[in-house]
Amino acid sequence: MLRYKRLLPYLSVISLAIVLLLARFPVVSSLKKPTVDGSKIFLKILNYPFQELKKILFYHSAYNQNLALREESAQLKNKLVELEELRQENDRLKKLFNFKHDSNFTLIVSQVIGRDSVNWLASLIIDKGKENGVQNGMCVITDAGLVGKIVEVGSFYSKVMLINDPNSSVSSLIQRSREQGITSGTVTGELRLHFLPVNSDVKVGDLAITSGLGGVYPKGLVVGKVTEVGEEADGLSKSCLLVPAVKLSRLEEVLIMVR
Amino acid sequence: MRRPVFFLASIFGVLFLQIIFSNHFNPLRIQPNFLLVAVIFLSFYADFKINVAIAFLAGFLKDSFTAGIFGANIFSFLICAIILDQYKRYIYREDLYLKVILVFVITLVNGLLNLVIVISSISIPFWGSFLFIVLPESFYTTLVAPALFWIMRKCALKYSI
Repeated sequence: MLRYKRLLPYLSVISLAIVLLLARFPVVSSLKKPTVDGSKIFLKILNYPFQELKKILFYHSAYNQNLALREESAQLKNKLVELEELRQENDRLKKLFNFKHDSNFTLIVSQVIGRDSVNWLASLIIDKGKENGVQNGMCVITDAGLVGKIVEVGSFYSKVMLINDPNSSVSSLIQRSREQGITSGTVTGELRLHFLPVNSDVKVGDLAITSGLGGVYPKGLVVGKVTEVGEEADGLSKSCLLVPAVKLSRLEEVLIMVR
Repeated sequence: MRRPVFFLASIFGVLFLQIIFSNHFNPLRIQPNFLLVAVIFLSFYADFKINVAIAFLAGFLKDSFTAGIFGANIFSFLICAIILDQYKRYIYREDLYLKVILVFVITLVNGLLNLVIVISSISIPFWGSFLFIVLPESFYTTLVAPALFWIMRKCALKYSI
């Protein structure tokens, strides 16, 4: 009897833990958003010295990069004029064929203020939320390519599930051969393109882009580059390893695509 | 009154350390579990009820800053609080080596509990996750634990906890 009495507090805590995990009381989980919202200002203040320090430390490489980018910018400006001509021609042709144009996105610039506190998940906390027009499911990108999608929105923050999270899946295609598959993340932070037909034409160096299927990610966003091609364990399909187009571990600013 | 304020300030301070650390220094995508180290440290200064409250708060805060299953960290932290209560009586509060070994064991248990919960909702390989995430996290946490213990001990002495 005495032994049971001694075990009672432990049993109560274990029961509480199990109930909290399984029942997911809305009262407890509703406190989650105000907690992160309230912490945002502290995180921004604490992040500030690190960001400033990085700016000073990387001044030399930033200067060299600036020179290279200026050169690239001049070349791109010429290309832009050429592309503008092509775009106008494309618009005219689309109107002729009565196509619907679906690229009316506006971009919201957002700063990364935190990362997932659990090691096997890959998500970011950014400083824009409901008040800035962010909604669940919105696509997040950088100039280099796809980052992920919004999975949780608070008043002044949002959580972004990165494409290398094990929960993430992106309908993708190989740009060169148009072979389609699903890109998903792994616990080790790698990206893998699954379910490619067994005789598909995929080579190392090919670019994987979003296919637009499923409606979450718009078509044509760069997902990553193929670094390894292999067969799935069942031998029925091919899969390949991708290196993400975006350096997901070094993100500081991202763009949210708002329709 | 000083004691609860110290406990709360420690947990929130370590939470911000955890978030900032993961944002700026995350080699190999692994981050140490600072919050668990804080829970272990504080467990030597309080009784079971307070430890459960601290573990609940730490788990809740960790769950708030992840996109994973809400409640997973509350669960694993509460279980760790029970294990800590069972074993802390055999460890002298000032013995750093034993406390560091305790950190390794508790982080490993915490990681395994979390892994079991995650596996129930996502299809991830158990051994791969254990070898590449849980084990490195335990080693990493054990490595940083002495430094965090030292800082927290200094603070505890300063505020006569």
